[in-house]
Amino acid sequence: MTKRTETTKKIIARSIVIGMLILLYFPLMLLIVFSFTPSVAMGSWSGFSFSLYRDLFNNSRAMEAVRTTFLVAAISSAIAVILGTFTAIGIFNMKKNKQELSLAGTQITVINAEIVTGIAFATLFVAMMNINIPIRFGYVTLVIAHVMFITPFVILAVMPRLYRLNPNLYEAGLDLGAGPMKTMFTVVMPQLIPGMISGFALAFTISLDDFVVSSFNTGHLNTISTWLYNSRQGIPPESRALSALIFALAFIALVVLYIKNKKSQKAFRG
Amino acid sequence: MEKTKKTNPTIRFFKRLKSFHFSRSHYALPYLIMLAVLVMLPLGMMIFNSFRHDIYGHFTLFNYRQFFRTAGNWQAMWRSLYTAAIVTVACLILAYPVAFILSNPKFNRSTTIIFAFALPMWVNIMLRTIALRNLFFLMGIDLGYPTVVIGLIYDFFPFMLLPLYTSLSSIDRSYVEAGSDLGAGAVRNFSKITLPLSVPGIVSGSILIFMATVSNFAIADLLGSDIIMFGNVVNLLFRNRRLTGNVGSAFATILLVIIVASMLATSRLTRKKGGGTQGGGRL
Repeated sequence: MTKRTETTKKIIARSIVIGMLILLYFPLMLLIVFSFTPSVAMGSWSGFSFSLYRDLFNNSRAMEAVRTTFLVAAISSAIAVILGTFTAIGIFNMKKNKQELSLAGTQITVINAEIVTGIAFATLFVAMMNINIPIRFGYVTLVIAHVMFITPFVILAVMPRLYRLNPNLYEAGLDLGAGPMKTMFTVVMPQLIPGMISGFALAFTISLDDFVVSSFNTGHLNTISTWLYNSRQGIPPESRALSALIFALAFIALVVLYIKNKKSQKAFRG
Repeated sequence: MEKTKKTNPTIRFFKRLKSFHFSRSHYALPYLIMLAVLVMLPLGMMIFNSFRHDIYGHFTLFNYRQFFRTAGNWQAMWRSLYTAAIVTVACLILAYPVAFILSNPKFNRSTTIIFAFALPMWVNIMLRTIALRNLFFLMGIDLGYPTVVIGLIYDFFPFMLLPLYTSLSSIDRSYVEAGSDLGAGAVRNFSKITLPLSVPGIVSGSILIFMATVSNFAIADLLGSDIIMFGNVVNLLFRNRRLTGNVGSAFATILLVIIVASMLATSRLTRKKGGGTQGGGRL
């Protein structure tokens, strides 16, 4: 009796999850299927071909946008991981009042609406230009803006690991004769690596996916989102090929992750 | 010997620098300084600009009057705010069961499936929106307010699922087991243990979605034929920086004030309830 209810429960649970996945993936799948036909409007099939892929690679604006998006995401999340980890360590070691205040401060960009944050960054950059600081809207402004709004996510990812850390570890390192810096880098930091990795993944994803903050701070440089937004009157059909390629890349990453997980689970069971 | 009489401020500065003792809490210093210079200062500058006339540069409330003068402005803001509320609640209702199932070891033990839900985030937000737009065209659905709402839910769903999942999976299973040992049914267990302990995840997911929805103007442009959200208004004003940038700053400041006020109100409410939030539940 209970066994039967258990299995029905499992079936219901599984169908909810699978149903949501189908809803989430269906539009993307449609786009991918129609990336193999050259018709401008989606829905009409005018023969199988790779011509959209060729168009994509020949479209210099699209290529620039892809390059900018991934480069900015990589650079800014790399900076964010270092900055975020140091900040998390610092805040963790603060006294109660200072700690609460600093942690709240780091969350400003998370809690604030992106449109306000984006405009504030742009205001700063314009003001800097007005007093002749040599800065232009482009890579530098994009990276600064992205670093500032993705670092809080790294801090949030690293913080829980710090709480789980043995507090005597640092003292032990000092007692055994390593300097404070050396202890930090060789004893404490390695323990934080899992948090740093998930922080990096999160920061990278958020940077890739950003539209609002970027749109106020790119100038003439395009990211994938601003390129597509600017050409919204006639969305280029190559974008279907681009979706398919990015999807394939992410899917490969997912499969690799899955296999790795399976392996580590097996190793864990012995 | 009192040395504090009238020393040169620069000398005093270097003396303090010399006696500066590095402790672990100073690791946070670089980012906190950046935060002050690159986030707080710009927000202050934006607020300052919002009180200045765009062309003549004098102090004025003109920019704020502009907001109330045209009905379209505050209507757009109101539309954005209630749309954000609808989208947040819808995402919560859709994501909670999924997060609950995925975090329950009875149903799911692998973390890979949660990545499957996060994967569409890699395919750019605009590409996702375009995918949905194409789907609507294929199905013969006219673009309008409903399609904008569906688009927002579709685009931001993973941002709700992830914090919910983190918060739900960090709940100690033994609490629930203890609950059933003491005779609580599944419903009671859920309402008394699981739901209250997942509040941090609900809060951070809701904040993320609400703010993302209020800010976004691209989705309304792509999925609504003539739906104007607050973001569209601000974007247009700010694009035309020389003429109306400060008006845009004023509009953004109004949004900022609403956000700060609602944050203070909710934090006071949650503090009254006495629910201490622990490091867990966040993203």
